[in-house]
Amino acid sequence: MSEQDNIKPADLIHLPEGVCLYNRIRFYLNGRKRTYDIPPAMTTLDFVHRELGMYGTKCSCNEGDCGACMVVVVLVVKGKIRYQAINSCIYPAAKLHGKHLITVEGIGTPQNLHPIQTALLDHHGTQCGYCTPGFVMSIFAYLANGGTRDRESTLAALEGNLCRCTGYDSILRAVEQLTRDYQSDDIIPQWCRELEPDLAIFNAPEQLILKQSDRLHPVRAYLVPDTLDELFRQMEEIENSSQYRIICGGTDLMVQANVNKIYYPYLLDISQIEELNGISEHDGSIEIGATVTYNQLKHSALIQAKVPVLIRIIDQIASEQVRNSATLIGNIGNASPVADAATTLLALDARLKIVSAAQERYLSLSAGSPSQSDLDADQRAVKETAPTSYYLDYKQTAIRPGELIHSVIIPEQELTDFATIIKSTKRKAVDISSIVTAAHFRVSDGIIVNARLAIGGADRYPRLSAAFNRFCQGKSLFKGTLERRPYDKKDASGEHPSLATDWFEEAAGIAEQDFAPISDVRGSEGFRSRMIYNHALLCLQRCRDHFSGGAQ
Amino acid sequence: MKYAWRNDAFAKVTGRARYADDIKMPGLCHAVPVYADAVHARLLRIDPEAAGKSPGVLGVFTAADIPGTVKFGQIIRDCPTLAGDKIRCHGDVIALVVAETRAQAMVAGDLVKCEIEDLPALTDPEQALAPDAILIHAELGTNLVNEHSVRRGDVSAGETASEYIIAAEVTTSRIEHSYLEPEAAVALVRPDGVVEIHGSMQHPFSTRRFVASTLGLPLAQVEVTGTPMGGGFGGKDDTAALVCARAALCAWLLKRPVKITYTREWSMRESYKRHPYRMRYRMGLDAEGRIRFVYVDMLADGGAYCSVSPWVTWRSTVQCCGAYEVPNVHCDVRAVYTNNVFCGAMRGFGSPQVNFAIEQLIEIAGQKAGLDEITIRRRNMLQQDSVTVTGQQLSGHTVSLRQVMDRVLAEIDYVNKRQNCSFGDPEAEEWYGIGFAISYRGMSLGAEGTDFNSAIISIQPDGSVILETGIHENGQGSESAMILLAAEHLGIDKNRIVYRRSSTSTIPDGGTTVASRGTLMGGGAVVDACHIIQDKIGAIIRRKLAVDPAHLLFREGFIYDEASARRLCSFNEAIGWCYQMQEYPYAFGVFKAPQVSWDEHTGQGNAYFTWVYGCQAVELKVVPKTGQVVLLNMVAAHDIGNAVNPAMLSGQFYGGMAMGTGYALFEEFRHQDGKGISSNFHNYRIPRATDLPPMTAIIVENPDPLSPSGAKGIGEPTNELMAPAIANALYRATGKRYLKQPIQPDRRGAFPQRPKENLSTPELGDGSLPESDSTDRIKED
Repeated sequence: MSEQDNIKPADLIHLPEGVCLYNRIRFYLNGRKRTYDIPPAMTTLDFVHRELGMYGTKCSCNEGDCGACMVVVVLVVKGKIRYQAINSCIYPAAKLHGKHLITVEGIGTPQNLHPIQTALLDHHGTQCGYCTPGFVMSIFAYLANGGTRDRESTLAALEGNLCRCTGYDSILRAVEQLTRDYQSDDIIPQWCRELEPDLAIFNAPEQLILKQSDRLHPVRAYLVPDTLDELFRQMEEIENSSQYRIICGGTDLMVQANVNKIYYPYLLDISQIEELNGISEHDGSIEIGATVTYNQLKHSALIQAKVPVLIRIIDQIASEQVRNSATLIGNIGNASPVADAATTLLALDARLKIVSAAQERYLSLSAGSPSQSDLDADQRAVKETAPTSYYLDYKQTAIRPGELIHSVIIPEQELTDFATIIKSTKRKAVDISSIVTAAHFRVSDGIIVNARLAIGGADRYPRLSAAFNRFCQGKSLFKGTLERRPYDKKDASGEHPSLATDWFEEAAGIAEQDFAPISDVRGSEGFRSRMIYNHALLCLQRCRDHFSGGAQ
Repeated sequence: MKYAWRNDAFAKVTGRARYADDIKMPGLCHAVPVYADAVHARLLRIDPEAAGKSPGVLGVFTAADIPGTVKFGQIIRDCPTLAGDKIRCHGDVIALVVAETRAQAMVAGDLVKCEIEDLPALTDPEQALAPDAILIHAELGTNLVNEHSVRRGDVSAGETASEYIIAAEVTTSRIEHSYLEPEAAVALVRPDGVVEIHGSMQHPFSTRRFVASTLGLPLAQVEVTGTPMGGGFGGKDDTAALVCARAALCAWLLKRPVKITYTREWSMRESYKRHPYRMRYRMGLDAEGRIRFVYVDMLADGGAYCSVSPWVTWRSTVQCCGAYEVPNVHCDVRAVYTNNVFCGAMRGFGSPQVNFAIEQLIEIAGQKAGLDEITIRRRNMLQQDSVTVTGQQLSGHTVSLRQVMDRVLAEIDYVNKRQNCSFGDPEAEEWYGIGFAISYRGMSLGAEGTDFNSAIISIQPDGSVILETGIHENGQGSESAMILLAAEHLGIDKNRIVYRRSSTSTIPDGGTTVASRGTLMGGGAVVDACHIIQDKIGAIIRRKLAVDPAHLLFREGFIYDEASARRLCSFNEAIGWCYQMQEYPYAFGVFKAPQVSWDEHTGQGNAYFTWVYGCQAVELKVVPKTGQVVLLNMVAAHDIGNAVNPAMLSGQFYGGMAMGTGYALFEEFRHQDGKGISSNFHNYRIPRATDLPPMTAIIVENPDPLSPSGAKGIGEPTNELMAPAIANALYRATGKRYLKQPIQPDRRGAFPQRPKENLSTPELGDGSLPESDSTDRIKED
């Protein structure tokens, strides 16, 4: 096998037939320093299970749904050490460079069990045992990050792990006992702690190694540029944009590769480009960079304070483990018609900042309908006049070759704004929406000034209901409100059941009429239509309750 | 003997357990299956050329390469290891590609081409029974797999005696077992010519039959050893055996070890499912609410192959009226061939379907007679010495139906909480409901088949013990249960016993580890083997010590004279004496199930030698506007006879309730025109931790005199009740009955609210007869 060390980026692109680039990664594996050459785009699961023969990390679904392949990756995010549970089946092994990979084999041995393993033994948390290592790792990440006894938090931490034998009950009992008996410091072994300083100062560059291809894997190179300039240079050299795909978390592209065998010759991993990982505020608007993960957003004080609705939808997207890798912009990038986050951003009138080597421009998530940013254009120093629409058709976008979604910009939320989201799925967690609805209302003295009702799952891409907005504009949230009935009681959540406003149902009907959803696995046409109606109604009721609550 | 322990747990929690896919050996090559994109077709030609030239490929094999018999099956030999001239369902494998690496085999697999001629696809069982329907298996002359019936009493007389008659059609869907570990097998040909198989399977002996038949070898020339199994739930029999047979075929032809590991997509596409049923029931009650008759016609979609459809549907007939006394019964069940993926055994085995129906119908009928759901059950439920619908008197064991039901209702505080039920109250934003269901279940195989099992105990000179049985560890903890039973009966520490995972060459065929028979049958054999050992040791002690105790007591590593409580010797001393005196402390124990009887013509007989009784209840709420169902609490009680390993037993409860929840609310293997839509866990949804509420397990113990260990089975009883319990709770939340499984929002709207004026439900009674009020008794059909 011919092998050539340390390829310069400029040489990479025009690879001769029959060769490909391996990623020579340096990382820590269960406390020991390791160097391996990773074939292009090999997953961490294949690397660990098939190459290293560490069988505790198991394959069951190979699409990030079941958690049997869960590992913990220790990494530095913004200067802080994080222990993240990761679905190794959709995590490219090349990403391990500079990180610490912990597998079930490292956590404990039969002679020297980790407290998590002891607790699972004591509570009979294992039956067939196939899912067990994955649970051990998810529980490890949960407790390492200070997980509490609270049942809801525990469930959320385990939502990415499937078990068919135990009914989860014994596993939950084990976690409960662990949260009682241990602090996160007791959970993270000394050998993990000792490596943390090394991770923080790690700076060995990644190397690319030219090797003969096995002619089987269609991916020829997995490139990890450090800067935007480098990325643009790579994109330019590859020339034909159908040859490459931008990858960050990989939670969508790796599933496509594993399950549908959809490959691209070049994968350009942008996760190491520092300037894409920002969450910042300028003049009230919030800018979120392309590599910001869902969990980064979830733990961002800025987002929690300024765009709480985003936190609420994030909690309902995929699993905790997938959210460690998956990015907000990725949800826009794949242009799925049922993208939960993209639908929410659409309601919030977010714009996309698109960059290429030559220029930057802005695209609107709204298709056709005038966006609020157009209306306010004079107040905002927006360079171009009317941003064109990002979505063109089913899974088709206005992104041109050589371009990249740099960030998403959410306009300033005012006190008179109210945003809410509703997601309908068959199962409570880790499920694709049948219909996802996000609404953003601007209200002045109880009168609706603007109503952006965004629906995902009802058209070729997430779309606003312009008719709904036209109908709602100028209407009073309280006009026609019925008197509170004496028998209205507080429900379980402590809220009063919503009162009826007479035009709400008509508005909901208009929203329903505005869409012609299709039938598929996740819902029939009729079910989807009914969901749009119910969601629109609920959004209006929540909005009315929000402002009536404020008035009292 | 109430330990919380299992022998394989250390390996499992540390990731050291080696499953089939984890086996590596020198020279191992990898095979993958090739499918045709057809549902029903003539297979005219397979072109292996391109695949054969792909890098690393060692061979492309088709049905023509099979040296033995192409088709096999547990009952009817209709299932080809590789499809030959015909494709009968979308999961049929037409070829195997073997290569040096799995990646190479995968790439080459896509290069195999075939020529087919499509035939009309029969995907609806009714349509498959039409007189002019094309035959799926021409040689059988019919698309009917089997039919069973039960005839008891006189249904028309029962109808005359009925004051209230209800009729309903209930349907259930195709269910995927969803074991977390997909099928995997490694096969090799040993230098002595024996084909050795290591695989993920529920039944090594059934696998051995498949392999021997495929290769045309005598049974003795195939040795099958199970590996730790990542879940089975009834699903790792035929398909797992086929995967093993295919690995064996490749290994035989190439004379190299071959591994096949399935992807989730292949597993879902090909593996057999739980049968979808269409059930048409009529039930009549007399004026006092006693069931006078049940008439039922069931149709089961068996898919392309027979598998165990005749046995599954037989259990459905025996349990067609649920846990109730019914004097007049007319029950017919038919299983039908279609071009859908085939159906076979799954946890429950014909009972989840009928329970989903009967446990709702009893309430509907009760309501018509003005009886609440508790009263109607108490009035009709099976009691001690009751006679079942097949004419079997329930005696010789404790009939504890009333006991388990009362325990559950008290635990969940049913009577009080029931007052909070919403019944679709249009004023409410959230609806509350509570519900329960009861069942009785015949244990083990019953009249399905020959039912016996064996165990081998071999005590080593140092007093350590090797134990093996004809029961297979499916992940349920059967090995641990066997060890605990042996430890108890030999009076030694459980850590001195090592369970030897048996191979088909070391122990006789003990039947498949299904039907919740592991602890009952295997445990019975272990107890018998322990008795043999005790007798041998007793004889040695009498000779050695020249004493003659009437009974020996084996306890804590010592052996006592039971009458005088005098310690005679340690267990180790006794074993030492055995070896000195040329007596092997070795035993081959057997448990033969007590006789059962069956008359296929009338459907009458003593179907099972013993029965288990169970009750499960659930509380839930519904958010009508979003269609969301939130489970709040679950309680289950089952009479297990004797709890050998209580903590593990509770684990079976929780797992069964969780699986029942999936059955009720989300699970359905979807397909279109015979092609599966469900392919992986994103479109076949099993419950997650977030879907389940806190659960309570109540173990009821009435030791069974017919079981040597006193224990009965638990795997399946826990999984046959939660779906109807949820359906009943949803009725009391929404005011609407859901007779189609899975329960899903309607085409229009989630759980539609209904007008307030229809809100009338019977008050909860005290179990006494209702006041005479004949004015609203209307007969209808």
